[in-house]
Amino acid sequence: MSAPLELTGVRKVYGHPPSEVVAVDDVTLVVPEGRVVVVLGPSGSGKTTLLSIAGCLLSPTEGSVRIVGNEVTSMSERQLPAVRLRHIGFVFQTFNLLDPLTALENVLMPMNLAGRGDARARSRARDLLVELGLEHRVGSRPAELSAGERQRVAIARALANEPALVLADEPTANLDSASGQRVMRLLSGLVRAGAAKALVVVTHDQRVLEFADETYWMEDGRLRRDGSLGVTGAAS
Amino acid sequence: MVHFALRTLLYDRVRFLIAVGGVAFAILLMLVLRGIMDGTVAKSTAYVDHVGADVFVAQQGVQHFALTSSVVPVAAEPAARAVPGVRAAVGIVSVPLVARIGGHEAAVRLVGFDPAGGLGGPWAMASGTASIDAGGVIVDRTLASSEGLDVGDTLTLAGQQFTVQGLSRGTNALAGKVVFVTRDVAARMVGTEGAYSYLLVQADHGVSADEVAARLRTALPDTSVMTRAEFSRNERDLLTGLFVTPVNVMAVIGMLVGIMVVGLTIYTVASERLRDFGVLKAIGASNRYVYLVILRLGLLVGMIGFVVGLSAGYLVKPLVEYFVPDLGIAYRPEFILAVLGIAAGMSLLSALLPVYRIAGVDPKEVFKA
Repeated sequence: MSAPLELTGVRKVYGHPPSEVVAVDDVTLVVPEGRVVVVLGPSGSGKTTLLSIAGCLLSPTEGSVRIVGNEVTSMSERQLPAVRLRHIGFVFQTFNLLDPLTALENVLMPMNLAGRGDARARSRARDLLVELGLEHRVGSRPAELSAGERQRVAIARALANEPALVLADEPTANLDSASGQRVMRLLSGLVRAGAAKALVVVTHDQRVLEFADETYWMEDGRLRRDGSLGVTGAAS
Repeated sequence: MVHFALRTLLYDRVRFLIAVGGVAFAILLMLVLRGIMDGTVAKSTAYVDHVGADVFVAQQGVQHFALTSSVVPVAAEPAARAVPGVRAAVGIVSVPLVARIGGHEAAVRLVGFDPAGGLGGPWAMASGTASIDAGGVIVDRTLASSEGLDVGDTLTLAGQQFTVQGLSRGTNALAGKVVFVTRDVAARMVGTEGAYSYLLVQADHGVSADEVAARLRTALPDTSVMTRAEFSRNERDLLTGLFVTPVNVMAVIGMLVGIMVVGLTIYTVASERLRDFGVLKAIGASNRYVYLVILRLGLLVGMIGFVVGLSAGYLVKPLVEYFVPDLGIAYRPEFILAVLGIAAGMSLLSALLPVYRIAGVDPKEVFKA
């Protein structure tokens, strides 16, 4: 079984010599199924660039990116949205829900994009919201939800197409301590329960560490193993 | 299925109403301007279309009725009657005239007809009689209404006093409302005794107007012979030619207003919801899907605006006809279809710039807080 995410020798350079900036420097990372990987690091360390590369939103300058075994660096721009849709779920710091839509419709959207507009898709969207404790918020718009509720809707949306990999960018940054804990408990619990096969969280919030199987530290574009809770991952 | 375009459009109700209102106004402008032109032209050919003649004989070279004088010798009348296939041929006197009625000057078309001849007089009466005598006059009812005239009142035309004996309907052309007197009286008034202006000819049953017209051209070589359809078309072409350029200019202005309104709305929506489109791209929406959302936004505004504009057009029609009876409004189905096409076209055109803007959205930007 292929790992949800395999990065090998990934490097991302902006600009040209002599003023080039190395945002990600020779990163190798394997995230196997069932693992919660947390990448810690200060602002500007390259965490978000790494997440963008892992999420097929940004092409690396060098190296290989494999999503469930598929090499994506050789794919065209037209092919990548389908990879994101089928295999990757995103959870953003600012939630990024679609304001005109209800919570249910936000969750339904990725399924619609994947060509699933039937009653089963609607039922799955509702089930996900119920599972995340939002049964009373199904018909609410994002503006009517609290920050914690919005993040839970975003998580439900990320899980809608049963992705192999969930990528979370500072998922607790805009939440109070209790809501942040709840969101992380939910995310890691969903991986343990198999709702998502693997989870990568990039953050500078140290409270997230308690939910991690593996922890990495990122600084100046380089990734190093730090406080490992497991042994399956590899970093250089 | 989540209708993202519709939801996005309806999210800001005020902007939605402004956009639809702007498009509806543009549609209404195009529709009413063209409708007035078509309706007014149709009214102006009413005499030719409804008087009951199948063929018209005019002075050689004369092709029109409105704004035109024609002289046909009286002898042409019996000559026409003798043509095989002619059931009736009646001469009328018809001249455009500026008459002083009720203290105002009014452009009228004086038609002198023979009440006993059964052809050439009013085809629909509002009140009174069509069988007038030498001292009688039939006045178009909208003219009578504006001048406060009714059956039994007296009216002075070209210095001669008449009694209003009837009010006619459907005879209020913009170029001149029709005033009917007897043929002899009309000829005396305009000094054309011994001549008619036009001959009105009816074909026998089973004989086509074209056939009769062809025979009349042979029998009356020094005249213009036209079927009703030809004469009416000549009239429409003349009047349409007078109106069409200013109407088209205003219609184009209306269309540009519509394009600007739809364009600005869609562009504003797209700009304000740029992040949403970035999110859609990030979670896996193809560029094609995102572009279709924008095009749907444009089409929705355009089509809803079209329906509202068309409905408003039908509401405006009776109001215009009531308050400005000289004008007619006719919405021809082919023009409505053309406006529908224009609405769809301008909506899609308006969506091009926002599509270009959305195309530049980088999905990884959604990671920015």
